[in-house]
Amino acid sequence: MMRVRAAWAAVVAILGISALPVCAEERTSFAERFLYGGEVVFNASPKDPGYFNEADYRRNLLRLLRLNVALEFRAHDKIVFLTEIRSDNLDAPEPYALYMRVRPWAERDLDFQIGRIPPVFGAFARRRYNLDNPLIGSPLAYQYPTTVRADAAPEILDQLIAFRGHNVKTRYPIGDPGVMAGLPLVNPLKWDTGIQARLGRDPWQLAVAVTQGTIASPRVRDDNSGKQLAARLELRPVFGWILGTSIARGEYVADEVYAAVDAELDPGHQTSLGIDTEYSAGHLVLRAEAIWSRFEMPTLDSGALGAFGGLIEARYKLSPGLYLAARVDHMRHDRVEGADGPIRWEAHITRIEAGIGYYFHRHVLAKVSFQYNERSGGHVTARGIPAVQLLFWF
Amino acid sequence: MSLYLMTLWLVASAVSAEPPRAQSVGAVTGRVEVRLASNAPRAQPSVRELGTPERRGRPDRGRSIVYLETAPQGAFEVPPPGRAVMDQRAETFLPYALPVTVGTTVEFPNNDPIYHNVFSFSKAKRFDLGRYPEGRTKTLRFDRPGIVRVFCEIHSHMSAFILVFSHRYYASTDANGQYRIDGVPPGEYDVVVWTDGQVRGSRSVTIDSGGTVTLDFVVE
Repeated sequence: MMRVRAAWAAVVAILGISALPVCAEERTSFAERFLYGGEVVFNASPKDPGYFNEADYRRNLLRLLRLNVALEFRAHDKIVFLTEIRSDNLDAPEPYALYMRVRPWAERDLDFQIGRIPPVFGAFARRRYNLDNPLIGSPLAYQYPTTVRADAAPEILDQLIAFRGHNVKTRYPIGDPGVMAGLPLVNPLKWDTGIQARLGRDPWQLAVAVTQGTIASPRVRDDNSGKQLAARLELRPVFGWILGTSIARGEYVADEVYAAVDAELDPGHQTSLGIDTEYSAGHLVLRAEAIWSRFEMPTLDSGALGAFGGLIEARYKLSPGLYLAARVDHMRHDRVEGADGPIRWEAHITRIEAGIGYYFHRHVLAKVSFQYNERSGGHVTARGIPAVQLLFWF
Repeated sequence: MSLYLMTLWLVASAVSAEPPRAQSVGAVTGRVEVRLASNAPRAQPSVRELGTPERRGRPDRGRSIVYLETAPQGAFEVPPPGRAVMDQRAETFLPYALPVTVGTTVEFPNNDPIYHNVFSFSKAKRFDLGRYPEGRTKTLRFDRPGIVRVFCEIHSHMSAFILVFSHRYYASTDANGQYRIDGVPPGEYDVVVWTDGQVRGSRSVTIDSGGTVTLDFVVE
């Protein structure tokens, strides 16, 4: 009943705000306050027995049909409602962004965003997945699942080590008994829920967010009592150069893991540091990003598990509408003491992807790429994967 | 009227007119009243921004280009070498529609504190100027008649038109919708009005020696 009342209160508030007069110079029709856009993407590639491009929920990002619609409604000069609704492989559409943006003072560079908000951490997660990505695959740090899970945990370290290179099929005795993929370092496929503030504008801006989940496990409803605090400082020291630093720390382990253990456990946090940069000039765009992340494992006495993901990416336009792109990507993990001696808790993986993109029309982009993956574990340790993408945006 | 048909018109204008006579020239003048809603690209939703995007300018899509469909032959034999400017300011191309003659070099200065990347996939001129910063200008010569749709690769809401004519018998409307085409040799012509990406109307006129014809249009 309380929720129904709250929803009605929100609707009344929105309608009330919409009815407020806007200042004369900004007087616009209903249609002019409304913006829309979207993408229709079809990715195709051969089957991948190594699961190199699987993301959460067992989605292979190279074999995907995605429909994506973004909407923006300016209810008032100071209040904007935004959403992005997505369907993958014709599944039920899901609003993975749904929030309100408030700018209390028109002339001050201070904004608040409340709801299911864009991630503050890093650079890749806020890019339009297909249009702003010159290639078809995603960076490893933003896609490749580790063997760490939020809803389940191993009793001993060797149970975790046993899944090295089998990260999409992990199964642990504590918590959810199901077979599931582990967490990536950053999950850009779902956005977190909370409140975010952005201060400043070029040449610098600072964003801070408090959210329900963590960068690896964004959530609508919290599954533990902890919140994540994330911040990003972005600088533009010279024209064409963007330099970003991000930090995040939040509790990622779900209550069902704590509840499954008799003893009282310490909270399991994910702590991350990211550095990203982009330089562009003429027909060249260069990007690099590095992420260090540590997962505390409350059920183990091994200490936190560290991981690193880093990439360098370049795109060069050869002629109007035609470009070349390449990315070198690597992910590595800390050494731990297993029963058989020191070992990396998860297999290293290196990916090189190169491809071309061609605009048949301003709104129609085709990409062809080849991706080579090499991994130090799992039953498939190396795989070359060709892929094609057809993208329509509006 | 499609862009393709209009391109054909522009090309046809180079070959289908009567030779000028040794008579004093006239003029076509008038006003274009625009009452239509714009169909130009709008900004994408700023869902992925961490805050309110930079305030953008509004392109003046109400300005029209008025031109003679068939120009007097010989009028364009020596096209005046010219230069024109399409500015980039407040994430807007200014002007929204720029008429030029074949052979004109267009300057694209960037007067925004951000990168812009002007490009076009139009058949009349396919180009990509790359990213360049505030204070820099790139130039491009337009050698073929036709319509060139111009965009910015970084800002999808930025768009404009460059209309490349084989002759010099065209004019842009001013802020009040007024236009004037001078130096028109006597003869019969079709006068065409183009607004916001499309031909919106056409009327036939007869220009007498030294005469001025007033022709008003309403675009709805």
